[in-house]
Amino acid sequence: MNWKILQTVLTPLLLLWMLIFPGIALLTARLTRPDIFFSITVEPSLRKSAAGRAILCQFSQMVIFFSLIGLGLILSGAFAGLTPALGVGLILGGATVGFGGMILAYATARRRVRPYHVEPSQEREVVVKPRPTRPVGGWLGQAGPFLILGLAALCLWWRWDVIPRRFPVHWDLYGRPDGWAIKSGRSVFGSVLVGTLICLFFSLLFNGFVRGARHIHSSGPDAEKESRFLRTMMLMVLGLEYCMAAMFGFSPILPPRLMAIFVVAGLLVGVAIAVVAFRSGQGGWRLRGQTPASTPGHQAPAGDRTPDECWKWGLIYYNPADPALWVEKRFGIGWTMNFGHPRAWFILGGILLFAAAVPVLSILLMK
Amino acid sequence: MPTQAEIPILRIDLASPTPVYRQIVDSLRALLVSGVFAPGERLPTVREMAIDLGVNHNTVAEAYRLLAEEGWLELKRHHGATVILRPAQRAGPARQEDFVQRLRELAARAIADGVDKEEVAKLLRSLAENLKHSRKETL
Repeated sequence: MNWKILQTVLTPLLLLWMLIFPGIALLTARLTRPDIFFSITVEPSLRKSAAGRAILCQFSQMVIFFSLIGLGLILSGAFAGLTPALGVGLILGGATVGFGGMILAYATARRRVRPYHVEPSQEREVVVKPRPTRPVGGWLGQAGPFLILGLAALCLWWRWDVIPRRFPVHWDLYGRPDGWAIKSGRSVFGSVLVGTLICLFFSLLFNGFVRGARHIHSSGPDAEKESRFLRTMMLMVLGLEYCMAAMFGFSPILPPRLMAIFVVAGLLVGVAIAVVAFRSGQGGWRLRGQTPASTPGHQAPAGDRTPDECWKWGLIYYNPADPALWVEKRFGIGWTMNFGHPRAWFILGGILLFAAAVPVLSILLMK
Repeated sequence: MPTQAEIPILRIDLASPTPVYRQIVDSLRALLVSGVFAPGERLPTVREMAIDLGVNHNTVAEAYRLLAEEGWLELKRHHGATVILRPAQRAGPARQEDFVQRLRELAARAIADGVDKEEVAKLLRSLAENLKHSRKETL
């Protein structure tokens, strides 16, 4: 085994991982719905209480502590001048310590939150109106990326002579091309095909969330925030689809400098999605809006309308009695699958197949 | 755009001893009687309602079926449930007597639970007024 190459490949990947992942973990703990704390249903007041703050503080300290140890080990493995084999060992050890520490911090926080668990409300409400059939952004808006790809295919066929003998198919984080393909029917139209598959995947997945995910609140300001959150996220993903459609469709004929604009635009949309997710919180609860009218007497927290006992480690939802295929994540932003749903494993298989097929297809078609 | 008050909301309590399908039937019937829906209007599909309520599809399907039997809804495969014009019903003396009995029991229960008699009377009057103003053809 060539340890030197492994060391060179692993170092930037795991360093990036150890810099980004702890930050996500620290933010996530603060972005979940107020009545769900470390995936356990609690009174919304717990988070701001002394006990809640102490739990959050300990979680943050543990995550930072283990991440720093992990980072230290990775940096030592990469730059301390050790033998490559030992260096790789330290790098992998550092990643394990960092990731393991985060799991330990999460498990510790959950154990401390458990005594504060309360039964969520068993009341359910639904607006007696069919869900809108018109997708977010309209039918034309949703079809846009595919129209761009279709147009690109036509342009490529029409302007075949203009396509250079070698064209970029991969770009680095600064928008500079770092992967090239030789001109052929397979490589030129393969790019359009891969772009179509990616856009189709995003479109199906996110429209599946809109149509198949449960609405936690049906009326009042919370419902309004929830729908704003969903709409904004959908529009962002649609924006990302447009960038990818332009990138994949026109990569053989556009000059690299112009392509860099699309790459940077795609990255900016990705950053915007992260910013919106941070500002909104899970289900949009952090969005500004009218405060729900307080009702006299104590009310059980609504939570996310899923029973606590169906969550394994607070991360995996398994409830065969729940007809929802997608439910809100308890630790994170967005949705996760109900693994007790009959279709869940087929869809998971499809997602994994897609994740494996796109890179393989890209290599086969564009080399 | 409909105001908050006009948005038809169906509420159920999974912890209630009343079966869920019965709660759905009662809540939906109350909405239908109040004239919130015009004939031809479509209700959410069984799947959509089951997802949002977190109950089995069959529970919602059973509720829709009972309301269709009562003449409130028309059920079509792949098209969901549509509100239909229900001809005015004439309750016989036995049915009226049964209704009066149930209303008495409900009022007695409310008073026994501590609701003020005046409040119960006011609520019944208000309910009667609302019913008077709802669409006649649905009654």
